Amino acid sequence: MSMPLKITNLVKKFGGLTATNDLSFTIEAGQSVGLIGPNGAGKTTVFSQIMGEHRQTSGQIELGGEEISGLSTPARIRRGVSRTYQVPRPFSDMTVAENIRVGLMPDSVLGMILQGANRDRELELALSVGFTEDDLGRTPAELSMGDLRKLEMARTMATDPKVMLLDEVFAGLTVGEIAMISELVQKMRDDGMTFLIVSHDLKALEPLVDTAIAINYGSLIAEGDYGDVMASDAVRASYLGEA
Amino acid sequence: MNEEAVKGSGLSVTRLKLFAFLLSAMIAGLGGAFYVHYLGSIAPRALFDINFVFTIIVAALIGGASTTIGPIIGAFFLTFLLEYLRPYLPGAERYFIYGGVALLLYMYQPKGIYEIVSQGWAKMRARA
Repeated sequence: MSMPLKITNLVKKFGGLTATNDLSFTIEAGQSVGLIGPNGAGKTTVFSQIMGEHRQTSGQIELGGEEISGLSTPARIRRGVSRTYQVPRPFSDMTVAENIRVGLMPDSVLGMILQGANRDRELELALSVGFTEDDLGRTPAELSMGDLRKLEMARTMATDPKVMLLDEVFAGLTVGEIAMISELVQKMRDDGMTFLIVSHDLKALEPLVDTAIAINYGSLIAEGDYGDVMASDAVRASYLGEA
Repeated sequence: MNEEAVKGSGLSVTRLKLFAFLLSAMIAGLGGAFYVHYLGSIAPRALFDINFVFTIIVAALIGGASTTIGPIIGAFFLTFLLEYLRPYLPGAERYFIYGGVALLLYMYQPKGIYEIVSQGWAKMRARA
């Protein structure tokens, strides 16, 4: 099952700095959208607001038609939106399997105790992002950046999201790893997952998205077909610094 | 613990912290109740004696804080250490030795005896 995500007139101010400036866009259920913009454009801040890590100054965020602005981050995740981070944040003392297990846990202590470990699902998620069965017992300290990103993906998928926000999911990956994560995203798209993807690797991003949204200084500068957005003067100027 | 990763996994950090706090307070309270029965009387000086309070904290630290079994191992280790030292150093001097051993152990492995045993066990399994 998939869900639409609707952002309306989103504004985020940090003191005198406007990080998100009256941003509105809609991602239909099952659609995959690329969020692009130069460094400091405010892409990650948009993710943080969708997840409730930063509360917006004004504006609405709707998931599947429900306003989620007042909910905590865990509550939003339970509603079906989940994200990965630019810098992977694994539980360093836990193994790959245990990291994935945390994502599978219900948000209730009693539920956690009763549910216990679902080793089959842990293995299934680990294998789906390209780990092998032997990797399950490894700790994050033994993993490469590529493996840490795969672990982040697996833990995010474990929360059973309907909308996934991928933040710089290709950063630090080898060509082979990029191909593997792309294949995984494609497969999830085919299964109907809704995606909002931030990536500086525009070549890797292109085949994964239906449309693109370009922002700069927190404002929408272009929206629509990926090729058209990339060719727009505003986007070229924002990336190349042209007036 | 990585609070952001906990939140990012859809879990309430506050609820989990509160549960951990309640559980540890409950176990400590239960330990206190047993100890009073062991002493047979209750007095602030007996229960809030600095050596006694430090022994509990040091036991948890050198056994392995943030583990379940670590503080139990630490308590056994320290109790036996203090009792073995008693014939040679019947006075309070033995707390110097005890403090020194605890300090050295903590410097060698801040995660405690539990971690030393776990690592040793992992090495043995790797060799086998």
